Amino acid sequence: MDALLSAGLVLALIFLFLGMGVWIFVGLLFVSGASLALVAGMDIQRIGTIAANIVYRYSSTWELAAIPMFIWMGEIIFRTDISDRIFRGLTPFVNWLPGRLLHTNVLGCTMFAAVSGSSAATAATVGKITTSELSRRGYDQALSLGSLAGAGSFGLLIPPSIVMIVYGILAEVSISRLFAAGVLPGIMIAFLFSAYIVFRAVMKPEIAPKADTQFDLRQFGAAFVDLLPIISLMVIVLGAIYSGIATPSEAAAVGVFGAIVITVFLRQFSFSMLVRTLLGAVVSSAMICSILVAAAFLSTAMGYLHIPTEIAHAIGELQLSPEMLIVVLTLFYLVLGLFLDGVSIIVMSLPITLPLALQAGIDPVWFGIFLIVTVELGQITPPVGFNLFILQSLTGQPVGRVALYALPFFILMLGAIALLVWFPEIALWLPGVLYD
Amino acid sequence: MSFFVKFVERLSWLGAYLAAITLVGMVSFILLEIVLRTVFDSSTFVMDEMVGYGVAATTFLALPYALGEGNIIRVELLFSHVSARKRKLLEMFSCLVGLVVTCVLISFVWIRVARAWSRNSVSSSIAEIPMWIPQGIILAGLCLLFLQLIALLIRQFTKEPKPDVEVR
Amino acid sequence: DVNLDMSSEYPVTSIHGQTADFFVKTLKEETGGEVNVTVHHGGALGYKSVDHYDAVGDGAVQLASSFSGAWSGINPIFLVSSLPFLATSIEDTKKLYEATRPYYEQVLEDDNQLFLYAAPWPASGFWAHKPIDSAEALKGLKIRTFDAPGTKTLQNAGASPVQLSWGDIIPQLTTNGIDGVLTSADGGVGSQFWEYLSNFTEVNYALPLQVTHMNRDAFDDLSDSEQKAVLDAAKKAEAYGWEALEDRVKGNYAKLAENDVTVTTNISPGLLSVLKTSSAPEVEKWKERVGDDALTLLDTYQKLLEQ
Ligand code: NA
Ligand code: NA
Repeated sequence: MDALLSAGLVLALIFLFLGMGVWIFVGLLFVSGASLALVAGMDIQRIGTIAANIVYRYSSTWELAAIPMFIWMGEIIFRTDISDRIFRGLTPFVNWLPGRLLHTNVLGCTMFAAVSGSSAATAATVGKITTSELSRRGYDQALSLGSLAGAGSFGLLIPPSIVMIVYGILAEVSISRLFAAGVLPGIMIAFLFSAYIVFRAVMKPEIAPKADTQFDLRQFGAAFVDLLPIISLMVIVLGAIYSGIATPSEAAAVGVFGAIVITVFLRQFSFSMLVRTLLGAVVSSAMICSILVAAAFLSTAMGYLHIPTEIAHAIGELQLSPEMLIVVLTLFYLVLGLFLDGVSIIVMSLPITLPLALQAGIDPVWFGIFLIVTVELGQITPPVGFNLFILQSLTGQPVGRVALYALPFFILMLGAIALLVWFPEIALWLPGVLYD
Repeated sequence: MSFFVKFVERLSWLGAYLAAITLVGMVSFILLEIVLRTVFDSSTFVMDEMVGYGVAATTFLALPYALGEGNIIRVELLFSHVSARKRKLLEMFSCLVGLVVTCVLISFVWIRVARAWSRNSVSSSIAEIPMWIPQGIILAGLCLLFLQLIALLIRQFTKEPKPDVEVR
Repeated sequence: DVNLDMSSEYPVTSIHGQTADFFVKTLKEETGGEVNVTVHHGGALGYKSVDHYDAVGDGAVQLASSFSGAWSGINPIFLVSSLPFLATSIEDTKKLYEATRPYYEQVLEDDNQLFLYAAPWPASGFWAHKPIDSAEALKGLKIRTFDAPGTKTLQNAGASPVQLSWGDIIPQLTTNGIDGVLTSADGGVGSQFWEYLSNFTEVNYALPLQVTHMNRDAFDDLSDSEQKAVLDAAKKAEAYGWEALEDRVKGNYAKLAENDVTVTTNISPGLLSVLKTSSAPEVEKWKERVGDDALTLLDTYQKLLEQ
């Protein structure tokens, strides 16, 4: 099959160039262009025209704007003592729980996902605040980074979500229903992750440092005061979205504003703090956005090579039972997820896979949630996995090791897909209650 | 040579500062839109367009600086297992691939800028922004990236290469 | 065999997504399977309509189906079908298209591409919580618009237009950040607006054109019979698109009724005259930007109307 062969070639090129240590955004741009030349036989004139157009189009989209702004907000929290306060404040509350502060990534991502529609912004912002604090406090890095890589993708599943809006528009499915349908699966996966952390901590208590002492009421009071800044920030941003003052895409700007106001209240605001956080933010966001732009060109190249469409057509011709269809589609999206990002995968394959799903009697809202969980898996698989890249840049740990850390959480998400298949109500119950 | 490297360093530093100012501008623009919409029942009518240009500007203006500071990530698999000499070769290879990619992008983005200029293309919103401006900013960032890659290449031949990865 | 790619920004289920599929199917049949076009729906290749102009001209993609209003910044002539209240019925839009087509063909030809066919989007109207059938009802209405002429027109008419990206509309409707949306019944059906808004007022604001165009070199590379088949399929697809429009409008109204949306078709003469006066400056501004061509185009259109 031609499409599979081309896909294999592109993957091999990606492994070769990224493996040789070419900067990821450069490597992806080069491999995309090379695939267009080698597989589609395009000349440099055409490839250059396409590349320039896509780079301009994708880098200047409004949907990307949340990334630099949320990263700036994360920098402000990180470079003032708000982040330190979060951990001091949480300590007494999680003291009884095996794994203790290791749960902050899962909890933090679940909460942050409620204000951010993108998984890159979720992983980068929460990771900025948690990773160095957790390793400083002696928590197990494998669990801390693995859970962050997995939970970063909640940004797509818990509303608001850019991917859900894209799916809703393309599939003509109610976006409100999709938003409602994502809530329980998101919480369920968060519980699975936390349960796994508890399990690991019970088996091997040294992955989390020992609790200091028993806490008395006064310390709980002090802890609550420590949590006030972050709680106020959440209230400001969530309040702005759910009162209709700001749209979810605008929430990041509200978050930055809120974070600055809070630093003023904490008397930590200064011009030099502002400059340092800004420089940190533009550097990180240039790193992330340049990879996203390069990945967009890779998706375009895959589109020109007809790879997703041809494989999807081939799946359609297999005439599978609904259960087998889901299994095969999961594999299909896993393979595409190796090197493509979530939104492009959905956009490119949906015109073919959605009719297949509808024909098999699959509910389109359920199918949307299934799709989002499967494309989330692609965020933590090498060679191209955005959450892995973000974690590497935050911690300096190589992509391969982060991927290994993320593996248990990858398996847990596969388990979540199985649960969704067996109990479709996990996704469909809440929209049913709210809208029927 | 070291003058050139210093000069590029200064330029990318300037780019990063411009990117930072742009980011402040983006946040302010959105806050202005929110205030206009909720308090005055009005709108700037061009927020998503302007903020979109802002994303492109922050990305491409800060990219050369981020690269120079070693903040653009790569897969470290081979890098961490080979001798310093081979590391240098790999680094040069990265620079060369980067130069090829930036060169192609510069030529074809330049065509877009020149065309937008000669056609007087504007955006279709009420702001009617001349299209050569946002595309020109990307072009400027790419040119700076090109210089930065050459500076990085030069550094491989001089005695003390800058540490490649700075763990923050 | 010839394999070509076609880009479209809109979903496969949209009226122009279906027209594109029809064109491809017809072309395939007429050439005995020799000319194959793959349609990349939903912006799968990464292009927006505004990008298609040069992407097709430069041969980055050989064919595209594009919303012509998006090209108004490249050449203002493309704004004509988006001008408010210039053509308010399918018949009038047909005549406006007849008057416009030579200009579109010429401009595209100058940039190395071939105009194949065009068909309009269903007429835009007001989605809101109440019927917007009078000038008073429109006063202060916080309504989302999609282009510059619409924004200015509604502003002049006393409404409070706001600009939002398509993805932000639903969250803003849920939280009552906006009171209405200016779009077609079709657009509302696609995004299931009845979950938030109970009324659609048909004002026949405009029926903007979607243009399908092809790279000149890619066309010239085809054999004579293949070229003929392309033009023939284009003609059939155009007929299909215009016919589909009427069915679409009927289908949309049936869906609105099914979902308890009140459709108001009779707006007060007062509102209509307010809207027309409000849009007049936009038409004037357009004439100024385009120059003499605008006057001759409108003249031809006027003559066609009088026939
Ligand atoms: Na979210
Ligand atoms: Na992946």
